[in-house]
Amino acid sequence: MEKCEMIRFIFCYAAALVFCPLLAGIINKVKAFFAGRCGVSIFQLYFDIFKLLKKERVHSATSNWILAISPLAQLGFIMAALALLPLGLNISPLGFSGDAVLLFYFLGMARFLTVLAALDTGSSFEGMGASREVQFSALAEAAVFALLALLAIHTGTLETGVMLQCAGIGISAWHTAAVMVLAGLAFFVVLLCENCRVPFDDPETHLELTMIHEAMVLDYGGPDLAVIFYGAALKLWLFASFLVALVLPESCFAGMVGICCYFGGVAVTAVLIGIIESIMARSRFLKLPQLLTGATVLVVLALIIQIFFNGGVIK
Amino acid sequence: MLLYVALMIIGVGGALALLCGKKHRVATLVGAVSLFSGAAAGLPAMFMGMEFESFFQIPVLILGIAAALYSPGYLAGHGSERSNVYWFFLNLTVASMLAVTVFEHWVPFLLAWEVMGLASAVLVMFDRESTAARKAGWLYFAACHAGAALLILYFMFPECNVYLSLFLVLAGFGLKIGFPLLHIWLPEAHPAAPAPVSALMSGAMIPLGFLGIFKFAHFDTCICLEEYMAFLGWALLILGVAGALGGIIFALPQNNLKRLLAYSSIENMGLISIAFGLCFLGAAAYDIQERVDDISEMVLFSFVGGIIHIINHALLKGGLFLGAGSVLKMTHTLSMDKLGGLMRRAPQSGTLFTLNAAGLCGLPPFGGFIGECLIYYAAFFGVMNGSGALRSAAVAVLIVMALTGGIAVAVYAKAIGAVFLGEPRSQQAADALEVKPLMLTAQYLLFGLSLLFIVILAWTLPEDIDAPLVKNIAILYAAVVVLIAILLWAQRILSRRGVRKSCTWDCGYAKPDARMEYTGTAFTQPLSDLFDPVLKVEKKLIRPETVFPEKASLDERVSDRSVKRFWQPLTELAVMLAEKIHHLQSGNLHFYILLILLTLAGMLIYAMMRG
Repeated sequence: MEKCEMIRFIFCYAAALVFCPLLAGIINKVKAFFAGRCGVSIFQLYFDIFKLLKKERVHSATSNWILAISPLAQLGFIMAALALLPLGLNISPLGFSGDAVLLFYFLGMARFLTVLAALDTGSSFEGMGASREVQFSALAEAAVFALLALLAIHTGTLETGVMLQCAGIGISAWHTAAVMVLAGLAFFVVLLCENCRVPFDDPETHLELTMIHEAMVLDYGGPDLAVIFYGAALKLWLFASFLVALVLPESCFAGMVGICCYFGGVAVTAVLIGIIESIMARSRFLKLPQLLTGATVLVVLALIIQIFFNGGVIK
Repeated sequence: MLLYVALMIIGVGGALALLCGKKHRVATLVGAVSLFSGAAAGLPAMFMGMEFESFFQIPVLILGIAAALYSPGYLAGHGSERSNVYWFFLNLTVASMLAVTVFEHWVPFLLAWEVMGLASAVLVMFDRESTAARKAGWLYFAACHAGAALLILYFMFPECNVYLSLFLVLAGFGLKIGFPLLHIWLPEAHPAAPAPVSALMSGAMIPLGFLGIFKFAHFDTCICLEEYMAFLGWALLILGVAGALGGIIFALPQNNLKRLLAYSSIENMGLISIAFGLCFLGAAAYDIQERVDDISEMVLFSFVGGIIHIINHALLKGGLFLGAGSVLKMTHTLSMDKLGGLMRRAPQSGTLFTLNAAGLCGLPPFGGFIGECLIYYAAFFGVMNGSGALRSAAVAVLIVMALTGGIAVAVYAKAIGAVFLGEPRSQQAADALEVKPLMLTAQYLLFGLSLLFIVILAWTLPEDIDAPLVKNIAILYAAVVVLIAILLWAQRILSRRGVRKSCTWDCGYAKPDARMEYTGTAFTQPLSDLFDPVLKVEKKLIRPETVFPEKASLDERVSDRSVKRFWQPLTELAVMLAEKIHHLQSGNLHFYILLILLTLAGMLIYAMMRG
């Protein structure tokens, strides 16, 4: 790897760590715009995090070491997963053939820790949230691996960075474009699910009975909650980066243009999420498995198109 | 050579332990020391000359050591007065498992195979007062013999129809492995057997079936090797997919901790079967594929992945079964709806169980991930380079494995949450105390070895299979561990204002208690509802009817449907046929002599026609 690319990657990684709380701000601004309000500041999450960091930690008397270490350990796994992605559309220096499996299993470990921490408190609400989380994530996992299979066929490689860089909605042939549109749509559904956005979960709701992610972290407060907020923001950034790299074609890379495309793309993803949250309501929990299975079906459809029209590997 | 010494030590030690009679302290000492030293003596042999069998011997030896360390503490209190019997059969089981891996000819192999089945069946029934244990032992006994009968047929008629012979070998060894439909003894025998025996059986004994298939399938005598391997590959792949998904779905609603682990064993055997299926399919495609190099990657990675998963499963599942044994020892129950809060009372057992479970779910940075990742990797190669049906199968494998992995997380989160976290749901759980240090040592040993195994793999594999994958994974593991260590150190900064203990937030209600907690059953209810077409949970619901609600109750039962739908009709058919020929058994001696004469005459005519 060239030195220059390495520096650009490190720059983008640092930028992701610094700017990820902005995504929540963008989403809230878009929602406020749709509601005709002027809304809170775009930096609100930063203020919240700083305020929370100054407080005292409170842990449930029922809990053990899991509750205490969970927020920071989760953050560690999310940071590790982010380091495997092509940020600013530069291929990660840590990437290797087959790293996609590791990336999603790091996220799986982060989720396992959240779920265990929720159960550690013995609260009925948190048990409920954890139960929902494991259900939906199992189904989302199937969609993700189908998508990876599609990308492997499409690009003929197993390194996440190269895979995502080669993929993209081009205009070369209708079926290539169709494949990538379907893949992008399916991944967007997974993004909404994994980051607990509408229609899967409403982060704004105030009723514990209807929540997933927020129900799992009910017992956290102060600095722990700050870490969790930050981790959630970073995870959203991670999925947005994946989506941007997946959808953008290979031609918008190279140098500063690539970096601009990347940050622009992540911001546009946040705007899209904001629009969806403004025009849709959260759906019933019983309907959600259908949505996730639908995403898997979309990917399988894309796979069929890919194999039938493109005859497998293009490159 | 060392292996034979190990075999001798274990065998002789077992016999000596039996001779100790009622002096159970001496019997325990003799049995445990001989098993420990024998297994430890065998281990160096593994690394001096690695052979294919070594990968099946390593789990036997390591779990043998763990059982030797764990059993004395486990037996103390219940069953210690019969410890001579226990140690004799335990040593016999371990010795016969080693013998199974050693023999090349089928006659001594089958003899050792039978001894292994019989000795372990006695151990399953060790708790002789319990009806469930006797029943389970009987079922296991029947399964062992049915398997052996099929294998005898298989070995006696090597020239019969290819498909028939493949059916015989798959069903014969499949009864041990626990392929779907043939698995029914597993969820009965594992909960009934003493924990070290369950660990040994689940981790080391059932994978021996794969060794049998590899060793004794007719690769060298069949007419068309490609066709033979393709058929074997498809069979293993389909059985594996059904076993992995079915096993983990049936693990979801289980309430008995060891039964849950038993179903998870079926799942893991399914994953290994998928790996070997991909391996055979790839090998069969060597000739028809233009690009041989591409498909060889799939063959290599699936084979190595399957083997690694066998060892990881042995270490981690062994640790989990020992952990379940500790739960039983601490609380005298395995029913998850009566447990809870054990992490506070037995932090070491709880932590070990949690780490082992995370490892078995294949979550990084623990051992189980590497095997699973290699199988995924192989399937990706199948998707990219395979042709036709193989490619579609590889896509299906990827989706099934991802789904299985997701559900496994749910299953183990349930097990950890219901048993170790939250508040205790019964007095037994509230009074629990940590188990003896020697029992913990066995668990530490298994978990430590699973971590060491990652390092060994990262060291040796890249040279052997020419792929930097495992080394890269290990490097990233190390990086993540360092990162998290730094973050946890930074935790002190978060705590600078102090850490206060308070009660759990329950919407302003300040007295949450164990009855308000989410139970394990409730935790997995959404997923088991989703898979209800497969599970068919039997529900007895009494709703509160009147304006002033009175009684209300919900009773849920999950029975293994393959018993009711497949085995019961089959046994009924067998009994019906037996009754048809029942009148031959008249009790009349003359009639019997006539039958013997007729048979002999028939054989004579047959021999003359052949000659």
